[in-house]
Amino acid sequence: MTTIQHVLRPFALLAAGLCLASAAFAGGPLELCNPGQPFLWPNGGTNIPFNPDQGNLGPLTNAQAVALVASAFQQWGNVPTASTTYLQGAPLPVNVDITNFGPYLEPAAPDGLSAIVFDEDGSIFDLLFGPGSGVLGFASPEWADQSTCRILEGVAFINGSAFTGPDALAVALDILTHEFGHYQNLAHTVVNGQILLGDNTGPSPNDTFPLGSLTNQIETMYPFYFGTAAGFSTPDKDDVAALSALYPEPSFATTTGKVTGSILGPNGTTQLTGVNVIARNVANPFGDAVSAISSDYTFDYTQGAPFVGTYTLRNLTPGAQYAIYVDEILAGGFSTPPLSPLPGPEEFYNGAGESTNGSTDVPTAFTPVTVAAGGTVSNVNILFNAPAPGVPLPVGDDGSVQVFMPFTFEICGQRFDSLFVNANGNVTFGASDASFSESIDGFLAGPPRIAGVWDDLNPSAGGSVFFQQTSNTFTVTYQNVPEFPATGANNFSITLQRSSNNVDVSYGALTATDGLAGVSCGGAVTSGFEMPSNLTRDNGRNDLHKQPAIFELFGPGNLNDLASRTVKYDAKAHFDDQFESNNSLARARRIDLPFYTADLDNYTDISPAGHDADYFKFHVKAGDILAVEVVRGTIDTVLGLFDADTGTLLAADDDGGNGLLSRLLVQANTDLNLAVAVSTFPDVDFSGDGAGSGRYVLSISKYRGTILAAGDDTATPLNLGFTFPYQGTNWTSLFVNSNGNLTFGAGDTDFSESVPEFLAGPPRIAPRWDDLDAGGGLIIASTAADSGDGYGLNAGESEKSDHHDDHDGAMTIHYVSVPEFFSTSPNYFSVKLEQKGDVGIDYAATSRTDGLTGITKGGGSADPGEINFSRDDEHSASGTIYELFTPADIFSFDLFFTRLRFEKDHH
Amino acid sequence: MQRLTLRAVLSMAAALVVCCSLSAATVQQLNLQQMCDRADKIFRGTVLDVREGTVHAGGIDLPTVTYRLRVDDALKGSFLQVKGLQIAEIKMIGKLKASDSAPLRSFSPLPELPKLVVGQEYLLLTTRPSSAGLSATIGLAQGAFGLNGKPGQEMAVNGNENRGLFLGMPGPTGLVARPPGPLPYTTLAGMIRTIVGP
Repeated sequence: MTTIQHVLRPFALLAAGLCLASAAFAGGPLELCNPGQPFLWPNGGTNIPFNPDQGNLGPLTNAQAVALVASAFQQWGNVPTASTTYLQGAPLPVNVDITNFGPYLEPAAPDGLSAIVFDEDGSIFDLLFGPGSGVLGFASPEWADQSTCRILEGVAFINGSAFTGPDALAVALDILTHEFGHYQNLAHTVVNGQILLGDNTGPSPNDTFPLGSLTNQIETMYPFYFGTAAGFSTPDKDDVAALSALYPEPSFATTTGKVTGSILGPNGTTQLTGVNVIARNVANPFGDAVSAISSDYTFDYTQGAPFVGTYTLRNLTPGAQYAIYVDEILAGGFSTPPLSPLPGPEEFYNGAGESTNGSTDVPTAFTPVTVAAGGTVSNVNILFNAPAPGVPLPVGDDGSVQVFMPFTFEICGQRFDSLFVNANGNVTFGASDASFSESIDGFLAGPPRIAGVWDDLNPSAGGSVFFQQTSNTFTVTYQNVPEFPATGANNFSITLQRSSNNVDVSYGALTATDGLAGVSCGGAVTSGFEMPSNLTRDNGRNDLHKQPAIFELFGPGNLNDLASRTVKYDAKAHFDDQFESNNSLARARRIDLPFYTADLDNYTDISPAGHDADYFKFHVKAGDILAVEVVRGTIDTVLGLFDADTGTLLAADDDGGNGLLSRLLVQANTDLNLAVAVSTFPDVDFSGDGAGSGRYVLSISKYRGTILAAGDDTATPLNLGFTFPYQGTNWTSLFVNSNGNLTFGAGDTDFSESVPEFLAGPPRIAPRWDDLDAGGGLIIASTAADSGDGYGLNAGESEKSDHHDDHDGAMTIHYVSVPEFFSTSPNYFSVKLEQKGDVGIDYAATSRTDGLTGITKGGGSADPGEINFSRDDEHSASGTIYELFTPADIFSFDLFFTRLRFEKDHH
Repeated sequence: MQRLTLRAVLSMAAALVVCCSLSAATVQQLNLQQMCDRADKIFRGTVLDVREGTVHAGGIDLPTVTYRLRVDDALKGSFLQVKGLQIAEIKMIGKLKASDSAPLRSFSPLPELPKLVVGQEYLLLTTRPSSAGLSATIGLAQGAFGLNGKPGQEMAVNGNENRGLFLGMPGPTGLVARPPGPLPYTTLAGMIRTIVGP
């Protein structure tokens, strides 16, 4: 039996064999088993089964509905180059309705049935999505065997209330044909359908091929349906190609041709994923056209991995001349994530003229490709054209442009061959960021970033943004760029140096007084708890090895003073997990509690992806309350708690709240050696085969004492058990207010902190008066008898804390993983009241938002003015002293992992 | 047979259906008028919280995702009042993350409902909750508009890039029907207010 019991909320005990990630699918097939290997119905798709419902379907009798289903399947069966056939099985054992549809929608295990559910009156759909949702039907493979890559069962739900009006049968046939394409594992594709949504017939903005009628020429697997004139019920050339690729008759390979190639970025080497490639027969551009999406046969998009950046166009007419071009997917859902925006103009394949130089590789010029029956034309590679140095980049207002560098640049151990030039005064790596609102949290948790002046700049209103390059340097320049809408002019340039990994940001004239400047290694490396610097303090090079984000936030109270300066950074920093190799229970690292990994000396990460899990072991006693939480990180973590002696998994958590992070709050009812395992989803057996990689900040703390009955906006009276002198009165009790403060003489449930109320209210000690919701965490009261080594945040002891307090009397109130209201960002802090009248506040992880911190006698105290608490401050425990943190302020709550002390006899 | 040309498509009646822009589902194409008529709630809001859960329906426990949003602009329907804020709770069927059983893999056929991001602003048109408490955005991706841009100048675009939003009804004044794409929130909200009335 488990020796752990729940404290506050249930944790997820693992069922056997749960949870493999559903891989990112590929564009041709809907679901892939392995790269290059789609899931398939067995035996070449011979006798694909379906089991129709017993009931009616809207206006159709059961017999009519069954016949319609058979007809829709047969539309695919009529494809001569595919081997699929369909077998109607026994009807479902019940007439599926609102009372019993569950086992067909979310079956716990294969049941031998491939259900085609007829929701006669739409009541099932109304229950699932609410009335009037507009959902008409859905279908897909249902179960597949990963070991054989075979589809075992399929499923479809059809909304009978959808089929009304004179075209009802024709529309139903269209929809069912499309859905049964998915049932056979076909994904969405784009050939002609997008033209009807406003796309050009050739590389935009050119209508290379004169547009005529598209009647019956919209591919069945296009994600949008345009009515019966589209001809969805008749698979088109592209649909035939997709089905025949999965289930080919021998004639498919011998009577048609193929074209293969790669889609490459403007550097000529980066393999791009998610680019749609269309081939049009010049003599019949809409009737004879097929498509593929680059990387559609893999879910591993790592550069160099098999199938990455590649495409294959099938079902080509022997002897015909095809014009092949890259086309941006504008709308719809696809198994391969579409690339948007494209890193250069749409363009044709141009044979020997294909290059990254737009002046010679004209996007509208194409070299026709001809294939022979049974033949393959290979290496039809299309290279996107690169923007030219010195030419303004079309970043617009709040836009971004991806630019490839002539070399690979390493920032904090992460290597990139391109960067995103963002309109708002910064460049990012790996992802663009259009945000016009600079923030510390965004800077730390976002992609690696170099911010000259991250601010709401507007290049569309003036100035220009361009790049220049040498073999060893790459410079992005913002020249006379105003703030939005068109205020002032700002000048700075960001230079990356290949050989040294240095970054120099040179400032000219600036009119912006706010903004954020600095370099961040990004959320995969930062802790989220980094503190800002003064970038103009000296002229030395800022070493990111000392802190993986070096930055300064400007605004009222700290105006931008970077004009005419150069700020230098060293981006060579590389960080290693300080506890490796602790990849198994047997190799768990012993730790002392409390344990935090926010500082670089305790750096922890999951790396490489799929091959790492971290284990930490420690001891707890009966009655200990344990809080284990990944308090910061940008990876999707999972937490496990093991009995370190037996190896039994006692508890686990995937997402502790509304984010990707994890938390366990448990209490031991016997002495235990425990081990905490950290990994990434879906590694719920903690073997290390999770999907993500990057830094995480782990917090493990244990407590003893009484869990107070606190919730949202509560005030809980508490007897101290000793006399506590505070603000001229001796108190024997207090109120523990859930909103992060203690009051004397009266409770206070006010969730809206303010200085006037602070001064007017009861005597108060406010570690963080804010709208906190104790219902989302714990508040624990610990007496001196509950104290001891390892308990609390920093054992509740400061260096000047007198240990005789433990004998004379003390009370510590712990706020444990208490989030702000309507949030899950955890806050950990403790307030210790010592019998002699001293107060100590220890902060661990907290959110970086608002709040009021301080002490006061209240009752109409005079306002001494706000101070700026610095780290590890000491103050008098008499009178009023406070700091107000506001969301709009550049000085948001920053007391995490620090300590304040208020002494009765402070001088 | 009707000839399918650009002009024909653009003049088609609004009763067309459209395959959802997400996953393997078919969803009715709805224009703004139809979505407003069907919606139980229409509001601009900021996502505060998202949690997974279950509801019991159809004989099993179905997975759900519940979004809690602060309502910043209420256009239709009634909302909870919490601490002086208007709050909307939308419970949708589905999971935040896929899961499968090894060595077998299961593929949920459920359409992928819009995944809302904490801290992000949206204009949502949602269905009346069913007897199981489940609702969705009208037309799935069509009824979920992401808002981006500077305060007072936000642009709204739904999961279908606003395609078909004004099909069969007068479009917004001053905007062309093609190409579709983001449009000012103030314009869209004004049209909705006109449709739903005071």
